Amino acid sequence: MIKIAAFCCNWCSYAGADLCGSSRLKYPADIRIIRVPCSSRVDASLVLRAFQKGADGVMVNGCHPGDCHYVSGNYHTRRRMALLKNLLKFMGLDDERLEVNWISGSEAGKFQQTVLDFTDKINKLGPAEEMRDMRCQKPS
Amino acid sequence: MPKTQLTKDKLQQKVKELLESEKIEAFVGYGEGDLSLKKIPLVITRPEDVSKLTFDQTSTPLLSRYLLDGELKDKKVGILLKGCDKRALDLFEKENRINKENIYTLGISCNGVISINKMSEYLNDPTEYELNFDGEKVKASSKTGEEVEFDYQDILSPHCHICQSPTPEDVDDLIENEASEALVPIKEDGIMDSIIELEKASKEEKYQYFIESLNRCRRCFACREACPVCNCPKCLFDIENPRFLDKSTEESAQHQYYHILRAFHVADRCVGCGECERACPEEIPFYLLHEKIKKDIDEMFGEKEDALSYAYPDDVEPFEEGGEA
Repeated sequence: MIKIAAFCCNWCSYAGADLCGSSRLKYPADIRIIRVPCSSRVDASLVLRAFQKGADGVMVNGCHPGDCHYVSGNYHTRRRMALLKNLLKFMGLDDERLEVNWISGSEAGKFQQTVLDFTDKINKLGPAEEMRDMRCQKPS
Repeated sequence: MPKTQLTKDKLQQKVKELLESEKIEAFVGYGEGDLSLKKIPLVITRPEDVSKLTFDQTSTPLLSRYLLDGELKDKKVGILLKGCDKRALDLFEKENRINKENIYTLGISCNGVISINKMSEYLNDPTEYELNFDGEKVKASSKTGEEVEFDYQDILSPHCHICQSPTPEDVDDLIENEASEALVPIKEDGIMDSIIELEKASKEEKYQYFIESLNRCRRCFACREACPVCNCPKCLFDIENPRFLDKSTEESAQHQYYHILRAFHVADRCVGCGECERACPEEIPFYLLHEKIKKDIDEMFGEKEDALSYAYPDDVEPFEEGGEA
């Protein structure tokens, strides 16, 4: 079973995920939601650490551009994650395993759809061994 | 050698005048080190010590970071600056880490510095040799009397080939380097070419290349210590709780973590001095990573300085087409 770490911003995406649950929309249980105060809290270090410790995919979800609770937080996320994705690609790592989505607090359906699509994609790609810290594996 | 001697004489004369007129309390420059190919940073406070100062194509370490903390902070200090060093000093001023009024900047027109890593392609142990610069040619002579001659361009540091302003701008005083006329570096785009070449390679090739080069890392942190802009008071990798990076050099994930984060921390502030490349004992080409980020910043956001400190609504939207809201 794959594991996906989803960083959700407190004000939009987390509320969207919450609404998704209370509306009884089903999404795969492969996803672990981590609530962050703002999507710009997520830097390269958190994404890489997630991959090291066993995540096969990482989602960074934030408010739509222009809707950030802190006015400009998600613009920073946008720059940083675009550069990180390019760099991962440049190093021959799977940059598709990192996805950035803008999901607002009322878009429960979009949250469900995004998670479904992303889980599908990661299932096809398989486990992310290239960025994994192998000492985290259980001895077989 | 006489041309280097001329520059040295001019430098010593100027510093002597400055110290005697008490315009400055101390001067930061280069002195002779234990190894023939390495100059060391040197601080002098007395006019009679100026004869220890020197400058040539082996004066590699950048001096501006010595003004950030320690004894030199808040003193009237003079400093010898190459083009890249001046860019670093400008950055510190912009970040309010130094007081420009206390600093007397003595610029020197630079004609590039040599890379020992590149020299080892020609010589077994470059540190055994003394270098003589003569126009476009460099003569290396060892203590045993052995002599080798090669082109200056071949041992020039790769970053110096693409340096945009080897002569520092807006300095209080400028020393014309006598040797510079003969040794102007050619503007050949060596680093960018290798980045473009790598971008075209297949995913497996890229992966293999970076695994092989990054896994040579011994985690000595020489690249961090040498970099003029990598100078947080408390480094992320030194924090003990939580430990972001452990001592294992077996795990490629740990190497990726260190090198990607290092690249991210310096990329938008990088002054392009190439100290990281010269400091690395394993010749890791990790400077490719921050040059790549710099290239992306340039292509996507069209500005180089501080690109990761600012973000604007009208930036490109790489994630969702049409971008609702």
